[in-house]
Amino acid sequence: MRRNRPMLGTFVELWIEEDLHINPEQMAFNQEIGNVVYQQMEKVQALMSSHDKSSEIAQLNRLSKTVPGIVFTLHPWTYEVFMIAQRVFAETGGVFDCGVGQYSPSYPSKSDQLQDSGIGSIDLLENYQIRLNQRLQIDLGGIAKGYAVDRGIEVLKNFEIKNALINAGGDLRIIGGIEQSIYLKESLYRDAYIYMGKLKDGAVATSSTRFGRDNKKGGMSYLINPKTGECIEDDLSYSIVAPTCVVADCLTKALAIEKNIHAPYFETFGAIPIIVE
Amino acid sequence: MQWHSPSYLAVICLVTTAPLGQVFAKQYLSVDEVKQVIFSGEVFTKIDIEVPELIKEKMRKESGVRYAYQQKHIWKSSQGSWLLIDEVVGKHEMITYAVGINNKGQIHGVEILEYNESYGEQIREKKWLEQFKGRAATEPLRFNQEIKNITGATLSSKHVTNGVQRLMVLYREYLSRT
Repeated sequence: MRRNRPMLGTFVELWIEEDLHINPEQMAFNQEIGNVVYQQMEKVQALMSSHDKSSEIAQLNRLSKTVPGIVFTLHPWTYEVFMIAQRVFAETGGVFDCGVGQYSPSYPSKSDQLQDSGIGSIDLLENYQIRLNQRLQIDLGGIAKGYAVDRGIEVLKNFEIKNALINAGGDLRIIGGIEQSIYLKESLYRDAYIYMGKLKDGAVATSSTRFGRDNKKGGMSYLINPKTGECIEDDLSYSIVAPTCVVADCLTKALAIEKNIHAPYFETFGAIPIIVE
Repeated sequence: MQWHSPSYLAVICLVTTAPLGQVFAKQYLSVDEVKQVIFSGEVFTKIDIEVPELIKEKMRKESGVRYAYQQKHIWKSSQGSWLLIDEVVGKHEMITYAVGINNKGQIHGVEILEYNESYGEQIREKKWLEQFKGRAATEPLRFNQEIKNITGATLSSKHVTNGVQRLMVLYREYLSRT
């Protein structure tokens, strides 16, 4: 079964392997499983989108600017994403930081930029509570899509689906015993693909400065170095193969910024970095 | 996790690029399937109506979608739900999508039926094809089967979002009043 829904700003493809002799009831049931997968992924979007003013992230960005030291209770999923983000932040020495929202071209006030801090300034407490110590401009754009894919995969596992794949605009994860060929789209404007390799039971994510430039805002790339606030302006593709999609998604940013395939954090997370010229 | 790359090199150079010498379509759901996926158990009847030019103009203005509305698929269920199927042009490709609207006038589901990665003009251009001559691919590319696991390009779904908007204008201004 193959499905595709516009979601998370891109197209989310879902594939569930079906037996050639599948009966209509099982087919209908698989479609229902697909609906549940998409529902869970939509929930991630509703919780974590920084564009949506009613999301938890938008709320806590606003709250952090009112009362210093405010304690905020998060949805367990958002809390989990914060835990992962802080761990990747720590392991990469601050190279991955989802507190770079203030550098975004759409951020309202340039003079406020340096006052806002990143993910490292948040204290994670018990019972899904967090303490916001400083002004924040969190943007989970570099991690939430990968996390959404993992949530979708969890649904498939709970339904005991054997072989399946979710691809959210290039952040993809595969479960089961089938080896899948992975291709890298070489250009947005040409139909050319680079064969990257075969993946079984794992995830791939890619960040690239080739596409996705915000042309309306002067052609900036969307990858930002959190230490300098500067955009990454090269013409390379940075891919990570990892056990989970959330880790793959985060680490593509660290790879794009440091361009160091020998960085120790890749091994820590069981990840394989790939730079394509 | 298991990963086999052609060389295990961390840096892959651009030697295995292959062009897609054909237009291929990705089929996800059929018209019959999408009804069940969005509105399980409801029975739909096809509605044949000619959408007035005035309404079409409103749809164009509010959504910004200039590609003409084809009005081929308008379905209504006995429970008062609507299922509308439409096409928009993405960056370069045709996308067929369905919008389910429940009897309260709310969006109940959006699904992609078909995604045609047709890069028409560029593919037919000889010069473009020639640049790939002599390049060896390490892996046979059986596109309809193999090319499905693509990383690296976040295709924006904005055109579909605009398309959904135009169908909601159609519903608000016309279908809900008939």
